[in-house]
Amino acid sequence: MVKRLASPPVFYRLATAWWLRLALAGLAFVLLGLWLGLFVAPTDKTQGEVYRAIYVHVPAAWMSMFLYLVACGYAVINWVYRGAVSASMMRALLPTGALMTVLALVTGALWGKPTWGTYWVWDARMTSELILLFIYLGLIALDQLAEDPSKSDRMLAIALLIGAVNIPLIYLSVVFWNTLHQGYSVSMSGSRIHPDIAQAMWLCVLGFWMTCAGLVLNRGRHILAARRG
Amino acid sequence: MLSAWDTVWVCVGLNAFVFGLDYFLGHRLAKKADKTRLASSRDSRQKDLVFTDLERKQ
Repeated sequence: MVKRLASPPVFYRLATAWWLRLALAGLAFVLLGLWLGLFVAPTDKTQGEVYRAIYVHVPAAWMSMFLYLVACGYAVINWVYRGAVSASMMRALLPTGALMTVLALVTGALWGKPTWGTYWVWDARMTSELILLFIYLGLIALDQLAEDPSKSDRMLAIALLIGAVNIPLIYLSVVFWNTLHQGYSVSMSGSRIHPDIAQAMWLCVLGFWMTCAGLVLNRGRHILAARRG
Repeated sequence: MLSAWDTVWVCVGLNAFVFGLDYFLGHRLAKKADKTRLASSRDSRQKDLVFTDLERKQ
């Protein structure tokens, strides 16, 4: 099955058949999650209505890290097998990851002003997330610089894997440093979020995941097509 | 400063904008891929013409 997926024609056919369905189903989940989050979930006792930015901020922040890890997975596969599909997907994930990072940073800043009194502080969580954006932009620039994409695969894979050091730093920054950003609300041991709020948030997370997967598959198949000319 | 609900709606609007921009970027790439395919098929057609011309001269 995995071997079949590594075949460019099979991948192209599957991606063409599934990207729009995934993206539309994802958008439906996002809309449902937002409707529950904005109109049904209760108001937060301390933050009031502004906490509802959580339904965009948290899924975007998680996606920014998750998409990077998936790109690293493709980088490893490409390093070992040098396939065209893994090379295309590695590239396709970068713009979506960068956009999710921008969304997380901007919505975080907008949420920060009424709750912390400032749009931005150089706190460990926010700074490491900003570094993630620079890493994404650097990788996109590195990819654009290469004249022949097939020759830059290995270089891009190595750069991606080096940048992965930042992901655990973002995740653990609230543990390692005394940050203005709050600590974990969701962890392996459970959630400290009200069930109604958590339900809407998980729907948004699922919706973001599916929409991003659809958009990445669409970009991946086009990169693959352009590569094979 | 934005009111609480304005902040929330700006976040939702940004979310829609980002998804739209991502789709648009993918769409632009599709056009580029089509152009590459067209160019490569035109190249091969031109090569065919050159070969035919050479054959005729011989």
